[in-house]
Amino acid sequence: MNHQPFENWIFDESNLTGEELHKLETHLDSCSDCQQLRQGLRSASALFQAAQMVPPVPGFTQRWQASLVERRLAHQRHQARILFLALAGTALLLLMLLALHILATSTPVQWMVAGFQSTFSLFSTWNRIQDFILELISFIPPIVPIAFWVLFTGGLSLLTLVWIISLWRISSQGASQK
Amino acid sequence: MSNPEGEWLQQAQHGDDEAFTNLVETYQKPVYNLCYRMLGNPQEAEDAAQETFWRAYQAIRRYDTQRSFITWLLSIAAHYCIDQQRRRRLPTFTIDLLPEESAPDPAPDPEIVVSRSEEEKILHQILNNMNPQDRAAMIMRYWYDFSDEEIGKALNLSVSAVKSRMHRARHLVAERWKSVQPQSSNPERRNHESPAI
Repeated sequence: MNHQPFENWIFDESNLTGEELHKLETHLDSCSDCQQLRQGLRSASALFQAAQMVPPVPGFTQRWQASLVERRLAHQRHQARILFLALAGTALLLLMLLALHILATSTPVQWMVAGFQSTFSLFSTWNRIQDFILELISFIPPIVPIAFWVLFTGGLSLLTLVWIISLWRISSQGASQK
Repeated sequence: MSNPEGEWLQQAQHGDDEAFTNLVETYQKPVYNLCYRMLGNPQEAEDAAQETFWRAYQAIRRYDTQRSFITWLLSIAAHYCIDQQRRRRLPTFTIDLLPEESAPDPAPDPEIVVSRSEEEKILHQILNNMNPQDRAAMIMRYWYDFSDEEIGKALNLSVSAVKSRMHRARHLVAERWKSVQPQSSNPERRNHESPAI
């Protein structure tokens, strides 16, 4: 037996016209399949409509508050990681661009010569600085160098410590904090 | 939306965590229920509901106050659950782990308890056979009385797509009913049965 359009009508009964409803009822009187279908739909719908909302286990809001702290921390760490990766990526890209530029504008022999010259110049500059400092120290009373070195190394250690703490804070708590 | 909720919403949009917590307290039940009906597992539903509120918390500044807050919230929950369903592909339903009601009946009739548990199983079996979007549409219609337009907005579907999905889901419900209904269950006796399905 052809069940269309009656089968479709069963699922859209509320939008049927009076004539369509009459035709549907007539068809249902002679079609047990469609009757069963409508009965199934009505019974199941009644079950759906009678079903209650299921509440969460008590303490949902407290669990939310606890998880908010963790999630926020994880989010900030994620942001810090992204920031770090972005900076590292940019630095790498710049280095690669620089390398490409050098490759395009000079030959390997030229880089080697430039490299040797730079290294030599670096060493000679360092030696000149050392000579200058030693010359300077020889003019100052003997107590001053000790105080200077104590202050200098102390300050340098403090700066290094502040730098390490800042890095640790940024990596563990993120760049921004509410 | 009532006044305190409107105020909480505004305060939450300005970064007030306490106001947002009040919204969580108010909407935990509908959000959890949707997640539970979608996923069928209390633990997964709890995680999904918590994730929904976290996503809402992150996006609260972008929330358009002209829109219904519950529709917006349930939309986030439904999309998350649909994604979860698509990822796992093999849904698991643990009916025995149903959470207790927050205010349980002091002396529940054992017959009613058994009957409700049986009905929950049938509901899950029927919902389990639908695809996630059809399931979300059915849940929104039956538990939240959402119109086709509201379902469409929540699920990013056109009204005609919602109608088509509802039609398909109802067909499946009617077909599945024959195979899952227990001998003892007789919903015909229910008072709140509506013929307008």
